[in-house]
Amino acid sequence: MARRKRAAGIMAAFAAGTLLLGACSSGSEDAATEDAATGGTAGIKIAAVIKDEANPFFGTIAEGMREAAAEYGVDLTVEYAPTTNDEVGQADKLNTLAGQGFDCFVVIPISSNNLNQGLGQVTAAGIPIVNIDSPVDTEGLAAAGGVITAFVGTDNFQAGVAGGKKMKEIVGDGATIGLIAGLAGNVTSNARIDGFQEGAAGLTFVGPVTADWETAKALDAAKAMIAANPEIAGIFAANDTMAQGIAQAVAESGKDIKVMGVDGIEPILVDIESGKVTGSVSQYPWVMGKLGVEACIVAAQGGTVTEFVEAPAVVVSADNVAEAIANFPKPPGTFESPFAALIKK
Amino acid sequence: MQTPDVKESGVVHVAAPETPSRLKQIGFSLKSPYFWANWTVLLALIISVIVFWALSPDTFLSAYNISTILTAAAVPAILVIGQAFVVMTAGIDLSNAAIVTLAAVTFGAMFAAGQPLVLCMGLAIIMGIIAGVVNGVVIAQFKINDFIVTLGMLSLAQGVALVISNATPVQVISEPLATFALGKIGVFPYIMILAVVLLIIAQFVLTQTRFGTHVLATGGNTDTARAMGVKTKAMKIAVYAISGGAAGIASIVLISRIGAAEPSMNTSLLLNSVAAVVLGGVSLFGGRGNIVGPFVGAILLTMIINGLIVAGVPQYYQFIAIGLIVMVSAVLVRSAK
Repeated sequence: MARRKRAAGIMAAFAAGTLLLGACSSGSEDAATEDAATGGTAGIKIAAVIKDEANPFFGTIAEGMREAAAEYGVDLTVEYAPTTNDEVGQADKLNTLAGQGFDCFVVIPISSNNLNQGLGQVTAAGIPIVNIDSPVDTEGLAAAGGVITAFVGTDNFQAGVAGGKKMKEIVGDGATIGLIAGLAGNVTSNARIDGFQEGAAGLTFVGPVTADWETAKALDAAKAMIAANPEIAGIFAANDTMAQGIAQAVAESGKDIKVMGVDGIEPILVDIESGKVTGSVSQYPWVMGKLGVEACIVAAQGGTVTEFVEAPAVVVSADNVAEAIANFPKPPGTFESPFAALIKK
Repeated sequence: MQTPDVKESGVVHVAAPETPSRLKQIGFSLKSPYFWANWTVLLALIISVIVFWALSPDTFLSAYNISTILTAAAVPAILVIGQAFVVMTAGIDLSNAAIVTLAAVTFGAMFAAGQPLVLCMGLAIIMGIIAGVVNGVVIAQFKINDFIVTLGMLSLAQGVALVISNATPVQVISEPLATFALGKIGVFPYIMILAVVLLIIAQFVLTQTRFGTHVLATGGNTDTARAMGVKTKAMKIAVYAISGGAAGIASIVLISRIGAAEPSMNTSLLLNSVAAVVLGGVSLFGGRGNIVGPFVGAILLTMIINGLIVAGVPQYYQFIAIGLIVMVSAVLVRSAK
């Protein structure tokens, strides 16, 4: 009997602790609404379900989203996927938020289909959906009864082409290039790899080998690739977190192998400056996040949103890295938001 | 107790005690500390519900949110049924998440080849059972440690899955599967009803059949069990087959939820299945336990993640909270003995 009472006592203490934790931390993800929230945008609640926090690319997207939320005085809740590839975990998070009374959703699905069921329910509730960065498969989504209101993203194929052209410029004709892809079968990864091969047409390619967007896996894959192909002149990675692993493998091999990534995350810009990495096709996640929230605000207000907005992509290498770092997270030069004018204040 | 009736010849006759009525049996179990070890998880569930409801009074206990929790809990709950059987024989199945992947890509390969849905589902389950039987045979026949064998199967299954699928996911767009994944009766999703049906079958088999008793005997003391005539090797193979079969069923539910047969393994499924089994009062040393405890444990773990999201607790604290809850609950289960 005493044991059970002690058990209950510990439980109660724990419960109290959780309540305290919740009270202290709740609201920390919500953007400030203390600024004079104008009539048009006050009270709008936006939810974002994006990919993993471990990748700085998505952290920067979240920063852009929060910037827009603060600028317009709307409420923003951001949920990250539990791990890089936990598709069902991300779907569970979307499902949880779908019933919480938000006015608009911004989503980045891990695979082109894993969020379809949750999104179908969001559409059924009449809530608009803005898809950024990684495209949702619209056919599969339609089968689940869902509709995307707007898509904001980089043209991944063209990004690959730009990377390929730059690599060819640096290594010259006839060189051997290794290809390291993200999650197997992923649309974004495939588009970048295909684009790269077109942009670098004429070179010999090894791979693609998949490394699931993970640094450690890319490190191992690159090591194996370098060992099997000693004449390799360069390696292209479908994203920067993998490029970091590859750069490590190249450094360990002691050879002069050019490494090119995609995304333009801050650590890679630093590596480009130091010469560890040759280049990256920089996307502007901050811009994508900001545009995503702006599109959501327009949609939540009942306005019409441009269905497809292409976000900028610029090849960053030794020539322009200083400017890229100075402007980070914004792109060099100016960028016009097609949605800002549509927001009713 | 009856006083022995001593006769001249020295033979002692003792009347056999009467079997207590069902009601008395329940009464005895309520007093038993073993009973409370199993039901501490239910207590933890009730307290968690109260805490999360207090944090988010409008939304946590809404019909929509309850069905979201039950939907998310279905796959872990099915896996835990298999893991519980294995742990009760003092074993552990570290390969269940990988077998889910293997079964899923088998489904995907059949589906892509245009085979009927029922065949795809059947083959997925059979593949799971085959992997489980391999586990069981290597463990029982060659007498190798469960931990090592299933760890090896984890890699083996993952590798075979990558070969079968060529590391590419297969899109599975199927009307019946989508209806199955989304349909509910009231707040109960079909997939959770399936899990509960499996639970009832499993609990019945464990407590009311000779097989169930033999499973517990194999775990409690393998040598004694064997001496008593229990086919311990067959028991081992059987429980791993059950775990593999459960993984096969879980893979079908997973595919229906994400609309694709993915070749990448989800390790949190494995970790949560082990945590839920311990939370549910099943001893890792075998011989004791039921299936209901771990099932409730699986729902509890899912509910905690949901409750933290609904309460707006940031990502990092979600991981910390889950870890703390698992540790605290494990301590409580231990101290309830």
